[in-house]
Amino acid sequence: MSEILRYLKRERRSMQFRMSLYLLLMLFLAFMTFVFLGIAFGFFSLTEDRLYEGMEQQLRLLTDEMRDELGRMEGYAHTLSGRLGSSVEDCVGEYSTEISKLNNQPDKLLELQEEFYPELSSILQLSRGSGIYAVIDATTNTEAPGAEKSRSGVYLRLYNIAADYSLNPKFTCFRGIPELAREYRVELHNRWNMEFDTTSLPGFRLFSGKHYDKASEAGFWSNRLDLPDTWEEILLYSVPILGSDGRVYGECGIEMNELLFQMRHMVYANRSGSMIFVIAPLSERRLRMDLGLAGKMEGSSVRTDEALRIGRKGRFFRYYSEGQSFLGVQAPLPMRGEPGQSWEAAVLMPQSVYSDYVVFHRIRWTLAAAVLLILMGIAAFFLSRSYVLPIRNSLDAFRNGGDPALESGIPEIEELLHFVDQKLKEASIEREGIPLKIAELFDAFEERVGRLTAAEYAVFSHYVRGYDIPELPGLLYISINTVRKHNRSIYEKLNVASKDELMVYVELFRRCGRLEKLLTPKKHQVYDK
Amino acid sequence: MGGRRTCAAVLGFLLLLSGFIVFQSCRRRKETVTLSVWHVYGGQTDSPLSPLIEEFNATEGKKRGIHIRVVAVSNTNTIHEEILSAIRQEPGAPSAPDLFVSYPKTVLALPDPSVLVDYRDYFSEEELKRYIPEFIEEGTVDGRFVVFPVAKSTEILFVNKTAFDAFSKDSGATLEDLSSWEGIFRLSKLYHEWSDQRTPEKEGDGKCFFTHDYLFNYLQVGAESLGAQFFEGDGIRFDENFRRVWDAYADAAIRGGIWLREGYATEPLRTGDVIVSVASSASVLYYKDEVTYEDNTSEPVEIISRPCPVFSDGEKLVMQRGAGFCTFRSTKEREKAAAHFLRWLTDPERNVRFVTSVGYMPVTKEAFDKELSAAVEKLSSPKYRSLYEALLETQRDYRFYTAPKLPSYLELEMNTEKYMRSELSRAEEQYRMKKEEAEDPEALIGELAEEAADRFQKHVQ
Repeated sequence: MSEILRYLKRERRSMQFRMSLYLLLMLFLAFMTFVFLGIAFGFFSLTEDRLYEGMEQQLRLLTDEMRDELGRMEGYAHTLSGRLGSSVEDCVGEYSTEISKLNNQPDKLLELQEEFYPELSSILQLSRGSGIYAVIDATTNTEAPGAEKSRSGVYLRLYNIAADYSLNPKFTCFRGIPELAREYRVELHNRWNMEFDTTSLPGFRLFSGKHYDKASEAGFWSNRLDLPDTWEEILLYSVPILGSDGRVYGECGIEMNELLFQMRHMVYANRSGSMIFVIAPLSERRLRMDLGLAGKMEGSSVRTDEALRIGRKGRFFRYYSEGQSFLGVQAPLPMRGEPGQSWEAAVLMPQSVYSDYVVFHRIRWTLAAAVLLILMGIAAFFLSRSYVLPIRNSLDAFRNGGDPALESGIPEIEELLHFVDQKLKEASIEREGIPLKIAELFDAFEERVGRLTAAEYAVFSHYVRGYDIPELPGLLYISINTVRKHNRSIYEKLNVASKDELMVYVELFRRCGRLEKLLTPKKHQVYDK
Repeated sequence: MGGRRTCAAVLGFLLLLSGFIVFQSCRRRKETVTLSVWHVYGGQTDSPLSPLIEEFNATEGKKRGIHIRVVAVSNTNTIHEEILSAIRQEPGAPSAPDLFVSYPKTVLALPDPSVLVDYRDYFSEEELKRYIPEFIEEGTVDGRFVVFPVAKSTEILFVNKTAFDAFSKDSGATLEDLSSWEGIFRLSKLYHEWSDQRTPEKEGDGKCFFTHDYLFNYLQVGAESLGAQFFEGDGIRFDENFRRVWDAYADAAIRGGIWLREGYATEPLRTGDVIVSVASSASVLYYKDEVTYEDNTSEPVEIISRPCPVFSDGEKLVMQRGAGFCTFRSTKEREKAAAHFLRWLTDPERNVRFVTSVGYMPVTKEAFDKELSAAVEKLSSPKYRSLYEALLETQRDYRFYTAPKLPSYLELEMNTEKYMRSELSRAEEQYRMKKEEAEDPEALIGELAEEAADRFQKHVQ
């Protein structure tokens, strides 16, 4: 800054240039003040816009991933349905069989499950679900308590749920005949049961007794279910197992559990803070989180025991319930849910996190604007001072009788002061009654006297006072040769041929009362003491 | 003078503003440390560790910027395999977590155990003195404390008391018979015959009485309890003590009284295929108060616990079990966060709350001495109350056995489990086939047991 100021001071800048510079500075100051106030009071929403775009981007990516995953699972479930239908008919030995023929035939049911197992295990690996199941409308023992809702089948689940895809996953048998699990060296799940409870199967009652042309026309995703006796929550894609004539033998499907969803569909780490990806059915302006799945991210989670009401806040959707509030964006998910349901995918951010983020950035921008404003204020202060200073110096010099033009770096001021000086001089001369030509002659002579060195001026001043050449060595402590040398220089600089001509000038000054002018040395003509 | 004052004030204000901005930025930049965890507590059931982790994340973790994320709940065997494949970067291997639950055997199997944090870098000697010294010792491998104990278990005898009562009514068997291996094996033979006789129309359908989760533990604790040395160098010492322990088990197994198939003991107990098992005390979480039979009928049952059986002339010795937490080396910040989580988890009151929900024992002296008995009194589940009564009895009367940290331990364990089951199954099948024609079935059993022992020895030597 000081360098700039020095440079500006050194350089001769016109008044117009300086005025333009200061005007620009003022305009910039005014603009920054406007920006500062705008940011401080939230008139600008740059942060909000960036956040919104970030969330939209996350939503697009996650929804695309989700679509791929759902499509893969659904496709494999349809394939599975076709293969299992053939297995049933192969096992019974006839087409379009009455599946109830398998009731009370544990050996036949085991044989069927042995047929099912390879299909189930390979499709579980390919579909990348967390579990797979197939259940038929027959039971081991129709006399057993609860037999009316107990049906035979196999349910395999991944032993380890992990985000990474394992080439050789281990399974656990959640439902199925223990002998099957032992045969394939699969551990029984800790909450194993031999058969399915059909009341916990989303499609069993729906498909029962119906005919379908294709399994895909009946397939649907269940709402979130609790896996009995475990800590896990799941979604099931259910399709009917169809016979050759389209009759329903049972149900099969693929499971996506909540942990798998959370691991596979995590919001990418970003600077904005915690965001959560959720999928849930939409009904009556509510996001049914009580029926959907929610992801997790550091420090944030969404409660999945209640629906969230949906409102608007600017460009965002607002999701809220008693005790929780989120902002987010949402998009429809091509997911066939239970009858009358449409599913949505959404990226949510807790409103508190959103507010913290926005306020933080607003504070940061406000502070940055404030600092810039203050810096500009300081710059304005110093620049204006340096603007005024040369003018004041010129005035001081003018006041003290010096040459004002030499003190200022502003041509307009210099010209003005020079002009005023000239006018004052002319006025003074005319007031003293000296003809103008003579006055000019005096001025020229005075100016030439100003060019003498200190030593020359010392000799000259003695002549003015009336001393003669021979007296000077004694007075000035110099040799006569030195006096002569100075005399030559004096004559040359004053443009006179001899001492007599010089003395004529001195006499003229005396007579005009201006002798004092010759006896007032310039700065450089005074010896330092 | 006035100008200078103004300048100083402006500069001071600017300095304050800058400080505030820097403070705000730093506060914002302090990001949460997220640690991924593979643990075993709960498996496929409702994991009791998960709510504790949630509690940590919501309280202490939130305060200190630490977030624990459970990415897999499994068992130690699966974790063992997955950790090794992750370390070896095998195709399709998962990413290694920050923390995982393991036994020292997994550490010994690692190509380079120095990839794990030595907890002595984060816990002072004073802090470590609060833990049971044997647990710290068990977690120390090659002088480095790498397996941090959070819950310890031991082996316990679980009994389907409902089924046992029915058997004891006819046979005169008592629960006291279950205190010794001799009693267990005698009842195994008896139960097999008794269950066979219950369905006279179906011959040869006698059931197994007993199963042991860890045959390797049976052999080594059995031999050691008889005052013998089980290990010799990197292998097993096949002497007369080994044969005594082997023969006792083989005799009952060949007669069909012992379940020899693979899998956890909870499985055949759940399907009514056995009625007594020895398993980790922690398996209590997996026992259901219901048995489902092959005809798909179910029956509610009472499961009780008793201390692990011993040989009648042997020392009361029992295997100390229970994995601990290992932490992979990363940044100081992450390692410190992991240590902080473990410190929080093993706070006596919290530790007892956790262990009593999963059938484990606490790991600090204070928790054992002050908190455990009070907590047991508050237990409402008869199954858990019975378990902790057995655990307290074990702690009072037994000496805990810690397995040696041999590099070959894991291989010996796996081979023993595999070949002891397969050889005894083979012998059992041969006995079933030959017993009718055998002149002296008892001598046949002896021959088959010896043959199985010899074949087993060849496999594991």
